[in-house]
Amino acid sequence: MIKARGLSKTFRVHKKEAGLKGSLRALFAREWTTVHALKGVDLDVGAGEIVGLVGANGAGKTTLVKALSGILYPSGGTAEVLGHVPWQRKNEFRRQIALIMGQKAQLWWDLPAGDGFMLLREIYQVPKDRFRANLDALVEALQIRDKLGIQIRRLSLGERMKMELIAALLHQPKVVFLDEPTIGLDLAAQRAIRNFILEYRRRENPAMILTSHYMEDIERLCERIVLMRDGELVYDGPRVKLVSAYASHKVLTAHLRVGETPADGPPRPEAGRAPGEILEWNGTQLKVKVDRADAAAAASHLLQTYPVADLSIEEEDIGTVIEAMLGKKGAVA
Amino acid sequence: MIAWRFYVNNLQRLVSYRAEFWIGFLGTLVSQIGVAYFLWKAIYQARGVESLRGYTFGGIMLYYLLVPLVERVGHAQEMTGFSGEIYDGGLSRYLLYPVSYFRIKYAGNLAQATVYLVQLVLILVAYGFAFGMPSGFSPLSILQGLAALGASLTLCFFLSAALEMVAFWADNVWSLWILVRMTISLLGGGMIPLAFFPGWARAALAWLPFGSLIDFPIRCLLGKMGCGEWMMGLAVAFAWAGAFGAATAVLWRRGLKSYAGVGI
Repeated sequence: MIKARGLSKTFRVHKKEAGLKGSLRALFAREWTTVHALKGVDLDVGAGEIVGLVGANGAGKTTLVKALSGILYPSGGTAEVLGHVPWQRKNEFRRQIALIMGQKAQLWWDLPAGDGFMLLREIYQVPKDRFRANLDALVEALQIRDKLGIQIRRLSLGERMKMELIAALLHQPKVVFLDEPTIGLDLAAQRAIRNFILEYRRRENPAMILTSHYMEDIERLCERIVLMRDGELVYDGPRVKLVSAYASHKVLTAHLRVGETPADGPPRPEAGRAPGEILEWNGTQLKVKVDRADAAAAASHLLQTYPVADLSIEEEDIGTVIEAMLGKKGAVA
Repeated sequence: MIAWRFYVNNLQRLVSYRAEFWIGFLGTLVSQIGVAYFLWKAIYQARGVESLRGYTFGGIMLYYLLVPLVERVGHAQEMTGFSGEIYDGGLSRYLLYPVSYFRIKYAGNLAQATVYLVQLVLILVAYGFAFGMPSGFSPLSILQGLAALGASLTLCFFLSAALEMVAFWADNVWSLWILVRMTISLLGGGMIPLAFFPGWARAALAWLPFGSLIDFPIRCLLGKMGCGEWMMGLAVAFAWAGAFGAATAVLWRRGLKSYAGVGI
């Protein structure tokens, strides 16, 4: 459904020294610099996939999404989305895609959401019956029917984001780009949005690309991750493989039996006596980070040294793995 | 149908700002007339005549009353918002919709013009009750005026669009717009009715777009326009609108290639 080959985008931006002197100089001679936002990106996304696009700020994630949704022209390379070249912006193409931007309102600020949805029905030429059925289903799923008559600017951030999601999905797009859909939301709203996205995937089987800085979004929604750094893809593969192949550590958590420790308390896991780096110690729970290769030996050490009631061994947090990978130079996979 | 829906929605949005409607209405009434009254009173008294270039003192006051109202209907004094959307990335959402950006914007402009047209009608009716309607005012002059206002709106829309497309390349188009706005005020009849310009200047201005924005619709409403002159005025306005429309189309196609969609 989405196919990009050698996609690149270069921006020419002018540079100015700070201060009055820089401003005056810029009046006569402007200095330009070239920014390579995308450097030959190859990407394929199929129906039913939710691909997590991850990277630091300025890595090129949003530029890639904008190019694939037809908002901007690339400087080089090719792309096809649903068989169309996105930046030709044919109406047939635009009727089948949606872009949800968490940081940018797309609904009309001064109108109630219900009026905005009517407008979108006209724009996307959705038949009345289908529109009514879609709207009912979406409104029920997000439990926001009672807010349809309220101006968008008077809604809370979470409510507004729910309305934005409904607005983007009313025409049942086959390709959905989600740019930071849960940014700034509280935990309950984040959970509702994630469940809703999964439900939409189950029902419509679209191709979806999600960018987010919240690792929980990525963990809950994406089986596949694409990591970007400085305009290049540095990893494209299963989320699970990312952790198992690139996590260098495991985390061991030991819950200690209360009442079975010596009278002077359990032995403190001071440096040198603990099997790895201590992440947490509160008297009844000990959490340590150890090299993957040493995990079995460390578990044995904990069982012998402490009155352990329960022991768990977990993979390193995906955010830590990604952070470590993005810090490294050179392609990872 | 899509354009109609945008028109209705924009109208709903605009009438929800009741304070803006009434304050704008009263502000227009007071500020514009105050200055013109004292200035032209002095001129008519000094010349000691009833009428100057076809305008009595009452007629010239009505002209100045109509200037801001006509400007607002045609949007002759404000940008249409294209440049703002290019700068802040607001344009991006319209690029995603399977509908022409300019149709949407034109429908929005039409909605705004409708609100200002209501203001114009209310003020004209109030004027009629207070001072009586001008002698040339008739159903025909109303029809001519409405058509001229439509032409003014269309011309101003494409003039503004062509100008604001520069925002794809320049960091600021505001100063350029101020220059055009001043030119419209001076050469379009906003400062002085074009009847007071020398004959050679009037002949030249008849072929330029500026008069179509202010002087032409006002003269239509005041019943100072023969049918031939009216049709010629409309033809000039729409010809310029077409020219600016063509320029907009070229700049739009080129500009989108350098659009970065910042702000998202």
